[in-house]
Amino acid sequence: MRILVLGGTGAMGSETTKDLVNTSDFSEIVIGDLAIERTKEFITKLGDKRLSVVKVDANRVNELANTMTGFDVVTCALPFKYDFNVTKACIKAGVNGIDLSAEEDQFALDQEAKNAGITYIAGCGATPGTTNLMAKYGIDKLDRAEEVQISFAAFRSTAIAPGLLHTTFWEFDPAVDERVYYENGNFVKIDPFEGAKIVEFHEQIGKQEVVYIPHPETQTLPRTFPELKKVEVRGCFPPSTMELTKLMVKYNFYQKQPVDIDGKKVRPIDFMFSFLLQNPEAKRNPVWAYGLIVEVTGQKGGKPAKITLKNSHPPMDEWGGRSAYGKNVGIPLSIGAQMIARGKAERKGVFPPEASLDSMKFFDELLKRGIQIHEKMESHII
Amino acid sequence: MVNSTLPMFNWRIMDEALQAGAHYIDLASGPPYENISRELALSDKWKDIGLTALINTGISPGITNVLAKNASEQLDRVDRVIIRFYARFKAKEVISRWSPETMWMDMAEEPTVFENGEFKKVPPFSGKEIYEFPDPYDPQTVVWHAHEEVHTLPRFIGKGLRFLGFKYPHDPVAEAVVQLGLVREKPVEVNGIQVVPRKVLFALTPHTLLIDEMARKIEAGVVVESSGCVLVEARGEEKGAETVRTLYVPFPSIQETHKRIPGATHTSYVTAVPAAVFAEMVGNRKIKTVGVLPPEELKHEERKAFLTKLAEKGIVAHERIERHLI
Repeated sequence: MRILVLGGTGAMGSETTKDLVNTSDFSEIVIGDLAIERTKEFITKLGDKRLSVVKVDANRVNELANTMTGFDVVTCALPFKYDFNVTKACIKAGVNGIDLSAEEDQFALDQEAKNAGITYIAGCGATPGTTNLMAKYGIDKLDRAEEVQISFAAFRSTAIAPGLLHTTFWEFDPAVDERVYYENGNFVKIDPFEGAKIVEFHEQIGKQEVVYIPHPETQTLPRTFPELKKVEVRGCFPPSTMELTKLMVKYNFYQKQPVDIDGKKVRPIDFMFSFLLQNPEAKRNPVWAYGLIVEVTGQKGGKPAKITLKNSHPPMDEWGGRSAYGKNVGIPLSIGAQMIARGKAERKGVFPPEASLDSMKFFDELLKRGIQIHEKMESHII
Repeated sequence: MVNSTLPMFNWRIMDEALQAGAHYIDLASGPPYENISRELALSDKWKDIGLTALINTGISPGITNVLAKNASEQLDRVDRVIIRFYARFKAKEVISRWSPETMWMDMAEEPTVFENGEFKKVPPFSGKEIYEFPDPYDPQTVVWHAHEEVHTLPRFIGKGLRFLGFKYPHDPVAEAVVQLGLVREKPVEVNGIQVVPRKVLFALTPHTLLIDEMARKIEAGVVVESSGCVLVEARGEEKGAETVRTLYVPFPSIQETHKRIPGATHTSYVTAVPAAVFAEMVGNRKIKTVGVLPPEELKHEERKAFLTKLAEKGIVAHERIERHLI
């Protein structure tokens, strides 16, 4: 079996590639990237004969589809703006696919995917991804689930990579329409930094304030589980990133019109993007980790009940320093791809993870790699 | 001549005042604070002509210098003086209450503390503590901050002073700005153009509102909450007992200052009024001390008359004394 890993040398994709090398039985693992030399160096470092590289440009759907032909699965760890193109190309090439984020326009391709006889799982990293399956587990445990609250703490440097920096900017952009929570059939739009609450993640991260973040789970969970009355996703980044984004909102770095700097027009957001990517300080971060909490409330045995799921993983000094963040994102993508390849995601179409994968089998695979999911059940005695 | 421009112009304006034979008043000396030694070094020249150049005459520096001197002169031995600033300001939009450039540059400047006879630099945003301000203020986190008082007070307090520092409310957003280097001068390349980070920051920080613009904002209810206080804590020995003398000035509310001078904020009022009072006292020779001097170098009677005049304008100094009974 052959797998194509798009963006397989990137900040997140490199962890997917490493996991595929360490745990999968694919006969060929081909990394699709634009940076050929960097990819060759990465392959040499990993030293696995199944690895090779192919040059791909994710802006060109037809070219992408031609490259995909003949593979059994395509995994995409590219920035989320390419997800739609990759889904289109998978349908065109008739190849199963999986990626890290989930865009609403991908799900509109569901029928085309069914017609092409492929499975495409959108959003299989830490969040979305592991969180969707934590929610599914909690919902399955209750007799009737009513509410899902997801909280995440993405502890990595601000400017870890251009794609993730862009994602962070987007998540706090006041103009983004997708910053919503779901309640009784409606999506309620909210401003950045609203809905603040304190939650306690695993010990490497501890107590943090989380705020509403636009995330795909808010859209996909109510569709997969129509009985849900409320779905909310909140998140946080390390304090320095949170303060930076507050500054950007407060001082209008998101404004569309450029400012005049020494007679030259500069868009503030372009400045901040370049400034952070060139800034060693923005690449530093004391704790590399990922915290996930999913709280599902509803009814069990005729009484109100709540199930809380939390993740834990080895600390950065035992888990490759910076990799302790990326593994939480890259490993679920590798697990999902392997489950598709082994026929454990048989439904055809475009799905979020909760509509396609088995939670417990997924958690078993996470545990083999050091990521553990913990559950706590609370219910009324009488 | 009253100089309320940016401190970078002090040197030239002081010289013009001296040439013109006019007394001189300013509101701040830095950044950079190295200006202060240069200004004080001119004192003899001003004394010779019989003119007064009173520097740093706002709320802080200014009132704080007077409070620090007053607290210290009551003590027989002064160990430690710490000035702390309380501020709470909430508005429905970003409002710059003083020069954005001075504000950001102050944040980025390495603070100085005076310790055992030496001026020492400490990292920006260090010395974090939650300080219990007097009622009605809630506890606030404060950090070392670059400010004028640290550069002048140790020269004039004496009495064995071992430590002096200035603390300002901790602003996590400002800390992120400074740590990331957004206040730096070194340009970065943005789509082929060289851009100095601080210029973008200054361009996006709203300009300080003119007094009538501010009056409209206050009346429209844009300012939700405003309160402030400066506090000077002097520790030492008095009549054989360990004593802490704390002098503080709560700021009138923005609604009250707006009533007194339409458009004046709680910040601008407590900054401008002391300077005006000092200017009047220098002008009518109620202040007779000559030379280049910060407010703590004024005579006791001159400082007392200043605080009395301030109280008439709603800026009232309070005192708290703590000492060991046995």
